[in-house]
Amino acid sequence: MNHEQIERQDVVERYLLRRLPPEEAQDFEEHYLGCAECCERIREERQIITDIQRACSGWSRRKRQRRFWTLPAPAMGLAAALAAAAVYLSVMTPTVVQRREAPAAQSAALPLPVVELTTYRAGETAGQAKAGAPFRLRLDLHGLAAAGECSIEVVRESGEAAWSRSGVARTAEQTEVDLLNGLPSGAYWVRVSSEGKLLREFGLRVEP
Amino acid sequence: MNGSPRELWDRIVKQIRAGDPAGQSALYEAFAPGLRLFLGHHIQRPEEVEDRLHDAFVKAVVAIRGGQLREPERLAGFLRTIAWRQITAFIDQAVEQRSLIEDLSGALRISSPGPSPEQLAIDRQWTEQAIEILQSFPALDREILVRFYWEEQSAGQICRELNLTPTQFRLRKTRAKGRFVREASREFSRVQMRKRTPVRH
Repeated sequence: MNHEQIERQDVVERYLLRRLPPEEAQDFEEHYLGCAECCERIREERQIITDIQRACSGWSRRKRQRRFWTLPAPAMGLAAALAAAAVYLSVMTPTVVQRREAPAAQSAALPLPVVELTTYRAGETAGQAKAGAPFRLRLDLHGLAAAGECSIEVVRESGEAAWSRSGVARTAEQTEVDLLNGLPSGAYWVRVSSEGKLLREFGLRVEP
Repeated sequence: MNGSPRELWDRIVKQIRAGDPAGQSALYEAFAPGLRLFLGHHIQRPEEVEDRLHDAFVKAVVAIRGGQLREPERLAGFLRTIAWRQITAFIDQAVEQRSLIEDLSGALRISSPGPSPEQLAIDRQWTEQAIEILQSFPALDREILVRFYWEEQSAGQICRELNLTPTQFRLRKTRAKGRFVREASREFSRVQMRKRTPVRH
């Protein structure tokens, strides 16, 4: 692998985004291990990608929030009616059934503030919630193969369990759970697992 | 240091084989930056990288002295293999540790990699500015960046869904990325300047 090839084929960017085929990635690694110029290029490119990802993540989040608040009045009315119906159903339905509701139906139940935790990326900071206040955890599971069920566990920094729930429905993209009693202030880890296998882990900060 | 990498690597290997400490220093100087990036790319835990880097160098020196590297021109590949073993060992250890933590639930303390409140504030401010930069882009350019860098869509999928040819996609992406970099470095230097402004008491 030479510098012209690296430049022409966008090798640095593709490597950092993990889009290089394994053999090419290995070739490039063997090249840059001893190449000061490529090491510098990787550092620069990594910073650029981190900045773009941060901007894109923030922009996507804003877009989603805006989309909800700019719904036309009839749609808002319908959403409110659905939420009311969901609250009624959640009161009337046995607990076991409630736990196995799809994320969308579960999230329509109560108008809670949403704390969105995205898959860890460089530069991304931990999600934040307010101590003692109920909130909805929306967890980004982007990249998982298929929908299914999972267990969610919130543990304190010290490792002790603070909250957990099993049998939570998830799509391949995300899942949501409501923490109706909130959490005391502190730093937490949110772990999503399935059949004993850890799928994702997120940082969560609960502020007083 | 002078000479082509091949000459340099040849000299380093000879020195290490001969037990000359200058060989170890030269090995570290030539490969530490690259190995640090390599380990960081695969481990993604900055606090682990230095230990693994150190272990990889120690193992490499022992292996070279033991005559395990026959062709000095394969030095980079040889180091990569040794560092790769460090990565797999780290992953095995992390998996083991995780199940141990779950078994003991609470007996062990997990160290928090969280940034300081000051760093959080700077990050937040910088993210807001980066979003504003993106907001000022033409919708199609922004869509390309979001899909490619954040949603991890392939070039093929983006071309299909946005009705672009591969050339149009490449040009637009390169142009949008270049513009982002220019505007971001301008904004970032402003943030840095504000950060450096002394507070008057």
